[in-house]
Amino acid sequence: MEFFGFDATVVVLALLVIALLIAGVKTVPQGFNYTIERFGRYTRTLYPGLNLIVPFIDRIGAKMNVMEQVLDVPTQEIITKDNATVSVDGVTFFQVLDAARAAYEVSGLQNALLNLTMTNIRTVMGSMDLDALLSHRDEINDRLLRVVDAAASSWGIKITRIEIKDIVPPADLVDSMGRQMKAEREKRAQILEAEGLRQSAILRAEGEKQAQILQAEGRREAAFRDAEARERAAEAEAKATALVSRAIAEGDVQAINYFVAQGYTKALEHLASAPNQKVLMLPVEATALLSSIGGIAEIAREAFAPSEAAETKRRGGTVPRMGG
Amino acid sequence: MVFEMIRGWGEWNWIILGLILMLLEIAVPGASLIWLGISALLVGGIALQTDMPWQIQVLLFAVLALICVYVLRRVLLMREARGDPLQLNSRTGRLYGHVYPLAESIVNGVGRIRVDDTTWGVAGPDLPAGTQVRVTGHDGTLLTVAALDR
Repeated sequence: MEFFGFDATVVVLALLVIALLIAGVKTVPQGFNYTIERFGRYTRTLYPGLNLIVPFIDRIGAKMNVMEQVLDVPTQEIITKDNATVSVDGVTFFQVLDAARAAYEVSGLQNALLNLTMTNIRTVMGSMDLDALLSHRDEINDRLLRVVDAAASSWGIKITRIEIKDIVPPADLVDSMGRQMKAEREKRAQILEAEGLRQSAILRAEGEKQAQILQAEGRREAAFRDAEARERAAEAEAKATALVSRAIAEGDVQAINYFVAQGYTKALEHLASAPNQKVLMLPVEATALLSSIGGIAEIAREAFAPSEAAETKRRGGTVPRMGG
Repeated sequence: MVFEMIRGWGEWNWIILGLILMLLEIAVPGASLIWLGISALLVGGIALQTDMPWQIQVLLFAVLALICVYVLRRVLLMREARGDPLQLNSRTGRLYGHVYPLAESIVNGVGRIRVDDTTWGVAGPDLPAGTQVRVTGHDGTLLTVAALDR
């Protein structure tokens, strides 16, 4: 059996179909968009799934990753507004929204984004001073995002986030920053201590003042009461005297003498029995004492009036006379 | 000799070829061998039922492979028309219909809104910052917005 032209054609046709299928059926995985170039010119974008292209005239141009991607921004030295040199690194998140633009509007997408980010980090940070740099990261990120996003939007790219990771000032600067902070805190501590001392002194003085006022009030009160007591005592004395004088007026003068004599003798007894006084100088008017004793004698005489003789005998021998 | 082999190509060989192609498709996904495999199986099946010369079988194989791809793609497209509920990798599509306050007032048709923790440039009628706007579409990386109708 001969092999005819028709047979060969059929076989070749089958081979061609196989080639067509393999070249024309394109499966695009999720997370990618393929650009199609017809004779080198962009025509359309293939989305994930099964796609057919015309073999031979259509070619896959770029396989763009449309997932969000992370770009590490390497460490760079920047000079702040107040002339401090700090090293800064960061990270950029971006996503391709328009595969065609990202593929053809820019050459070397990652490199372009990286340079854009780095120069803008310099611009933004160079316009702030170090303190602001360290404390306003949100603001820095926001400004960077705005600028870079606007620049990259013509490439069909959305910058979702730019974060500054590390800001490292030079070691000696960090050292002096630490010292500054320490000094600040010490200052605060000392001020607080002084405040405390002042407050406590004030409080103490207040307390003393109060105490003195209270004491004075106490003394005043006491004096008032003392005076009252003295008044009362004097009143009582006066009353007693009045009573006594009334009694005397109604009775006998000699009755008083008894009491006086009792008082004198009691006083003498006290003085004599004092423990550390053997010799005792007494500015006693002995005559007064004696006269008081005389008073007693008077009483006695009146009492024992009937025996006259005995009375004279006692008077003669008993009483010594003292100092002329 | 290749021609001898082709002449002596029987129905069962189509089926064997089909199965082998399917196996290969599993080993090398996305290489489109599955269509050739399906087509070879179909040809084998048809050839078992009817008696046809090998040339016709080969032609049938080629045509069926093309038809297979076409039909299957139709089916897939119809299913895809129902949409991708997750809106994977379509950042802008996911924002459609949502309402956000303007972070910056729209001046000369361009402003910004804050979405999650990033900001998007928006195009729309001039409005002061803080106004609630609804995302209606997008143009590149700019979202088009309209004022929320009260």
